[in-house]
Amino acid sequence: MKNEKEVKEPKVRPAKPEKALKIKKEKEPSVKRNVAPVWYSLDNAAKIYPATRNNDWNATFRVAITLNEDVNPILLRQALEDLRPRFPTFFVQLRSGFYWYYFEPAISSDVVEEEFTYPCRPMTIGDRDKPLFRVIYYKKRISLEIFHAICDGFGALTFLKTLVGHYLELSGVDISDANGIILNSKDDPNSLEMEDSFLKYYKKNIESSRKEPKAYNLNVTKEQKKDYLRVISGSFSIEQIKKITHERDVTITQLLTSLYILAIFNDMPVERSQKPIRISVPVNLRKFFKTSTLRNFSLYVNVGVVPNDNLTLDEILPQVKTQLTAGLKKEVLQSRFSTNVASEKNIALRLAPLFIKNYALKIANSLVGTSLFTSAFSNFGSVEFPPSMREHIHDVNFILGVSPTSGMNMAAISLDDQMKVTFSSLSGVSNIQAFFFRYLQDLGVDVEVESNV
Amino acid sequence: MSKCQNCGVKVANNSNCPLCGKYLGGDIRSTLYPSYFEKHTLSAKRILRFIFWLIVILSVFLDLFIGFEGWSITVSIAAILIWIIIFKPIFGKRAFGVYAMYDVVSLSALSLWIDYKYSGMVLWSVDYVISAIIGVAITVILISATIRKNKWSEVNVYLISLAFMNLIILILGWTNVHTYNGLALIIAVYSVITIIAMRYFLKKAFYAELKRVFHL
Repeated sequence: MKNEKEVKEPKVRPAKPEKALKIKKEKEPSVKRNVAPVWYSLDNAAKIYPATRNNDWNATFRVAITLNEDVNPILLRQALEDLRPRFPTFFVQLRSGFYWYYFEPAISSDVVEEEFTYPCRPMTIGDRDKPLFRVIYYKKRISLEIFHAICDGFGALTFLKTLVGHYLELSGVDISDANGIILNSKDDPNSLEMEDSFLKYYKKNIESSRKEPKAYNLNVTKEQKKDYLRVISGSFSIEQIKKITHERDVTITQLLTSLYILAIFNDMPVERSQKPIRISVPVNLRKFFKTSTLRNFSLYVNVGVVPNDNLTLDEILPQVKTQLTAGLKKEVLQSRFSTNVASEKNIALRLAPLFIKNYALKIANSLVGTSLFTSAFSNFGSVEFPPSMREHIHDVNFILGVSPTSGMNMAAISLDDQMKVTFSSLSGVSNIQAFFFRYLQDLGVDVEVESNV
Repeated sequence: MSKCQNCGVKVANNSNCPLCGKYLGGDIRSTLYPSYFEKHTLSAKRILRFIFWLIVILSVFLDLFIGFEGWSITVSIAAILIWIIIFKPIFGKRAFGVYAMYDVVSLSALSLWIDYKYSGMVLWSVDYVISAIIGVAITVILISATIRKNKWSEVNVYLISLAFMNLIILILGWTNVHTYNGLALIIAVYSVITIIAMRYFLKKAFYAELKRVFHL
């Protein structure tokens, strides 16, 4: 480890010269280096988040990497400051235009703090000094909490991996084998990382309907504490759970989604709702459409089951499998996000002043957004590190923030053979989580549980 | 590592099972997360806000106590306006120009209300006050940029907005809605000069700011 005196003076790289952001229509996309425009419009998925926020909540999530040694905050601050030129779309603050919100570079990068409160507390929006994320350290853990309008889980984890990689570099670790697995903090950003891929892959006239029946609402009993979020994580072996998925011919996401539905069903009041229990499963569109964007490029597939008197996992699994398989077709996904882009391109909406758009988006979000699903389950999948970094990393975690309407969400992430499923909830009651993990244990999966409260 | 007999799961970092709450031994709190506390900082903003609320509540209480005459409403409005016009821009984190716009709108509305309430709407507010407020706001915005409270590159949107508001006063004068247009004309010249100066000194940044604020 380097001593602290060596890193006290932050190395601030000079600002990159400004160039126009143009992407040529070629088979191999051209990459423009040194592209750092002075403002960014919000991508298609990001537009909903500023409109639907309120004083006590905005869409924030956390990705975290736990190291094998305690975090040195001075090195962490240094590493973050060094990353600023590499990730220009992250060091931004939200501003209101006349028609749309936009991002402009934040003045300060001073967002490193020691953990002192619950995860995923709302971001301060409108503070021109600071970007819309925070880097939190606690003992051996480095967490990134970020406003969803900036990026999705993939972008956030790419940023965090690069930050931790550079932090380890500053600590004296050689990570020269990292090529292609994490971004090089010394590289210049390229225009493809900043593009709105929704616009790139949008197709006219292939729109789809957003109509779905309303879903069962969890109605959790919320704790009356400021920024309260109860986090319960369960870790288990992927090998063990794969035995179950192979037996039932389903994927891990399908199994965990089905089990989550069953856990919610089990917690429903005796007078069961006739509304479907529907889980919103985010899909990383990068798996279907070639892009290097670090901004939002994900969509949701809502999968659900109408409860009957005695719902079982074996009843739920085929339904979830069918719905997820159908929803994950490239053409279906493209038609769904093309519908969203078409709305954004609608001339009447574009010409409406921002405050009217905000009301319209709030209503739309309520009608064809949050009311259509009971909860969300985001499976990030497996995280890869270069071998030189891997030996310094203990585990990873992914926590979704919770909106007042949903009350509870679930997220999963894997590192090597270990998978970690994390429930985040506004309630101190843990019936759903208990059912979920006990059931997994009964299926033959050894679960290790941890909680923040 | 403990094992919860109720749930069958292993628990490594909590003294109680997170699922059923059963005590498993060891330290009370989680070792993976800190003991949470709420940060209570006694800032100047919080103290001042408390004083302003105290003024409003005490004045209403006193007014009611000595037989309601309505003076407490004036005191309360004055206190709220002082907070909005003076202290909100000082403590706020948004662009200074935004607060200047709030101030112009709230003070203009106040002058119109006083004009209506106490003068029978003879429109002295439109003849003199609103244009004067716009003129002061333009000056304050220019000063704020000079002392670097505001960025020069984002000043022009507010200057153009204020010039537009003043233009409405001028048009109302030309259509004989109100009588005296002299001050509005002076402010129009003042605002046009500042906008031309901005365009001259800021060059491309002038249009860049307009483009980002009004992008479709």
